Amino acid sequence: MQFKYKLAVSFAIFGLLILAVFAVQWVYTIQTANTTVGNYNLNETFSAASFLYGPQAWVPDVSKLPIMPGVEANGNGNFYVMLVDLNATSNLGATYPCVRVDYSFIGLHGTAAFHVYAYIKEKGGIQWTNRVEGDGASGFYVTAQAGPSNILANPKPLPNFHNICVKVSNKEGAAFNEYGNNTYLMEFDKPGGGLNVLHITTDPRNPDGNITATSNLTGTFYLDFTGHSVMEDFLLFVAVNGTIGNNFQLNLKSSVPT
Amino acid sequence: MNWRKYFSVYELSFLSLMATLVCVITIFLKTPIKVPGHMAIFFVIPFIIGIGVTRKFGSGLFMGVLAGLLIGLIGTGDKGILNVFEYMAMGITMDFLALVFKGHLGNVLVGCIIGAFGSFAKLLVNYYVISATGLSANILIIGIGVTGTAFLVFGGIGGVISSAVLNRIQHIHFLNQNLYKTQKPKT
Repeated sequence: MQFKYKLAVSFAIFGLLILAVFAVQWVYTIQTANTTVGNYNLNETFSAASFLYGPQAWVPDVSKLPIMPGVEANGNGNFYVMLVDLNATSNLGATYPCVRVDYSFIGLHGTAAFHVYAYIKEKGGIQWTNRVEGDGASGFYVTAQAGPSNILANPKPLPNFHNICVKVSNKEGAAFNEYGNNTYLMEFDKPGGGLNVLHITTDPRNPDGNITATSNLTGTFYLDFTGHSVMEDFLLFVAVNGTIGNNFQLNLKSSVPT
Repeated sequence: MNWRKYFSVYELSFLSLMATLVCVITIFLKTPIKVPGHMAIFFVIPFIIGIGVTRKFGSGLFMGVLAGLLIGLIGTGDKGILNVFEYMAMGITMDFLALVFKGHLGNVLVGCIIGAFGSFAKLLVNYYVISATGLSANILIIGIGVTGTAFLVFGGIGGVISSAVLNRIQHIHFLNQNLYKTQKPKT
């Protein structure tokens, strides 16, 4: 075959390959996502006493990440935080692997921010979280009519943004209780790393996630991971500001769609 | 054919250097581009230059095995030693294409095709390895349109660069094998 024909055939294959990959993607993404709730991996109600840390304006990572887009991470924050072990991870056999989280607030007088963290035992701890701001950011924020900030007596701000052991607020304790004190080691040692694989989304068909701000005190969102590392356990970092009174309740349910 | 002398020491050294360069690029070169597969623009270059300089079938495979082993064993590869299959696939694909377009590796269009198909072969094997090891292949398929196109396009751009570089270095004395073959000892 002449050189020019070889080249023409090659570029035709080049074009066909591009069409083929988009065809494969299209065939896959027209499938519906199963979001049916099976058995709950977690069904627990948390109260004001469940906040173990704060007040602060940041969440842990390789540096302080703002607790919400637009918040100054190094400023004086008034968010109280708790880490909740969802005791669940994505089912990799599912069409859209994810963990479903159903939340319900009572007595929310301010803003609640949800962030996801993930754990792999072999890697020695938590090294991943969702990006809060910029390209690829995702998050879920619930806002109710704000009341004046009150001071909770017991919580203390997290001592550092990485290489810290953070205690979970679950009654059952940590699902992977490596240290025997219901804590997880948050170890972010790669500059800029760990922010691209975890996502919070309202549609499992969009695994890269999105930022959602809502005033619904009851709702659902999904957590997922992309990339090659298979997460063993998802944890939810819940931050609330405003008035946190004795009537405050947050019910969280986690389940894994198949 | 004497397989032990298939590659000369010069060729083996050069191919090993190119394979190491692939490893170094993969580990140390970080770019702000957030499109998956954009690194193909860089890592196809040593492969095509290696194949173009030695002009021997199997050069791509040699570099692929060596680069895959280095990346897998040093531990920066996300799939460990299984990375070797990705780079092997890329090397073999480029070897066959270099055979098809024998004598035209300096043509930028040929470089584009070799780079694009080589990096696409790497992507396909990557998916196969992920599926075979039970990792999250479903998630990756959701974005295969953009990822596949990126591997083809960035690999193609890398190939164009490689061919341009090959055109510039083919005249260099020590790379010209014919000179060695025809050189006779002085009497």
